[in-house]
Amino acid sequence: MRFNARRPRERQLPLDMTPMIDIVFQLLIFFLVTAQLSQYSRADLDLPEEAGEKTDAATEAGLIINVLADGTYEIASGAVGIDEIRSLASDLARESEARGETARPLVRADRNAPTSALNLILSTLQKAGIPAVRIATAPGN
Amino acid sequence: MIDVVFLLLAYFIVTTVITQREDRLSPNLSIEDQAGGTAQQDFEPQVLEVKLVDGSVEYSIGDRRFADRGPLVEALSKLPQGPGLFVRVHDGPTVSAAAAAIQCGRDAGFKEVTYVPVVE
Repeated sequence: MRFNARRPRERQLPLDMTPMIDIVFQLLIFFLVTAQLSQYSRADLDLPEEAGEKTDAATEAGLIINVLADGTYEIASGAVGIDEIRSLASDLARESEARGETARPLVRADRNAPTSALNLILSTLQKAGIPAVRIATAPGN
Repeated sequence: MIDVVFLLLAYFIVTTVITQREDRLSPNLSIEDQAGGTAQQDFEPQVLEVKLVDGSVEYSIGDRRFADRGPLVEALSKLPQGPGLFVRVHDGPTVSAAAAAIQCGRDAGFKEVTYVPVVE
């Protein structure tokens, strides 16, 4: 009586890559979106090293103004003049008032920028109807 | 394709971590003619002046002058906090001095800090 000497073929479970690829794609999309959002309007500045207030950081700024070390202004990586900022600030103040909210634009000023540039931008915002701002700091110390 | 996706994922993870964390100082805004007080106000607001004197930043409250943060915060914390603090920043110092003045006001316990830009 002959027995079949051959062993049954070992069953190999195929490694299912689909869930891993799904997760990797989800992560990729997440990092793509967050990287884009965080870099948008963020000029490379040395912000003042202050602890800040740790409050209402999640509030939408509506307008982000960068004050460079040489005293010039940028919005969304493009140089702007004081007239353009005045116009944008007036629009923001009007829209915020219509929504019943308080506009608080974010001013990201280089720590080495002259206060004359900051003073000019803040007085312009105030005259445009903006009651308060947020000044970005780097909590380094 | 999976290799490329992994490389992209690693790139975005690294660049996201490197992005500098930021915080905020939230002063109110007032222009010069509003900061001096009006007849309707019951309280005299505390005014902290920030200016450049002989090449160095000077913080002053009335006739008291400060060059360092510690004594300034100590002096501010002794002031009545109800009327709030007005920070008048003159042209001359850098933005770091203005931010330091606002931070000192917050550290001293002032809930209302108002930035008064002195456009000269």
